[in-house]
Amino acid sequence: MSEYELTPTGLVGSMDIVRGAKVTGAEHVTHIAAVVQATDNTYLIKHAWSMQQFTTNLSEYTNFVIKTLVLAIRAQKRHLEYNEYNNAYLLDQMSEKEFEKISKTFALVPVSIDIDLLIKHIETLTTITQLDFNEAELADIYGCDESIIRKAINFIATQVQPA
Amino acid sequence: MIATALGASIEGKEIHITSRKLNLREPRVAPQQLLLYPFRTGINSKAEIIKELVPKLTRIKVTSRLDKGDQLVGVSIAGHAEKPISKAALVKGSGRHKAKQIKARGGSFAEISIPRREILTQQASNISAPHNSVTLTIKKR
Repeated sequence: MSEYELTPTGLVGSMDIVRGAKVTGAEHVTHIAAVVQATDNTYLIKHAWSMQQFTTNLSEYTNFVIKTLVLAIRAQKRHLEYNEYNNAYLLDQMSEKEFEKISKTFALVPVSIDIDLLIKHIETLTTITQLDFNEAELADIYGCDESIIRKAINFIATQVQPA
Repeated sequence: MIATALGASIEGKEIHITSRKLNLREPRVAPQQLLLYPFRTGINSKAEIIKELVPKLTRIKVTSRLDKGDQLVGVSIAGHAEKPISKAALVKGSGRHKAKQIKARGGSFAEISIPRREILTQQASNISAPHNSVTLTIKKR
């Protein structure tokens, strides 16, 4: 939290605000947590964040949430499509060789993923959807190995940084 | 031999899996460019080796059981097969319920991911029991 000193002549700091004067030039929008009168002529502004910081953080968070949901929806769509072919194979509407050929197009190559990012994704997904996901489902969504998912879940459950 | 502990696993050329809940997932590419067909079961699951691996060596987990007739019993069993999972057959389940049975062919692997409830309860009680609560009985000669 930054602190700015407001005097009758102006603000000592980076913000161009003059007490009692009309706002000219660039407009500053900020979240002010508290204004405290320090002395007769001095005010302290407890400043939480600027509007620019706030909007940047908000857009970053929104983009992250969208990305998390998109990954989950894509995995679900792929799973549904695969199940259609799998059902066709199980009901003898397709030969084993034909099914093997099709299933190659759905095959997942496990990728390495940063565990901190994975933890954020899992926490966001479970918070937003309020659903339980098992290791296998999460491994399908993020295309990684189940052992990494296990580590991430373990971290979330115990809040201990994995080794 | 029947294994019931969490993480117990079997490997075989053909494994029969019996369960009331079955989830077949998209295949995965193994490091040797093999296509693996994963499965996951839930509710009263059992897996049994029908055909042994040739050569009879573990491929996935060193502690896996490899003998014909070796079984896993648990709530949920996860694993994979090298060939597409066959059509499920309806077999006798527990009590009045029927269960599905699938055949995992090729180099197949199955592992207990959730043990039976009584095993979990036993584990939980072992953890929660204080050390000084153990009573020893000494018989007089």
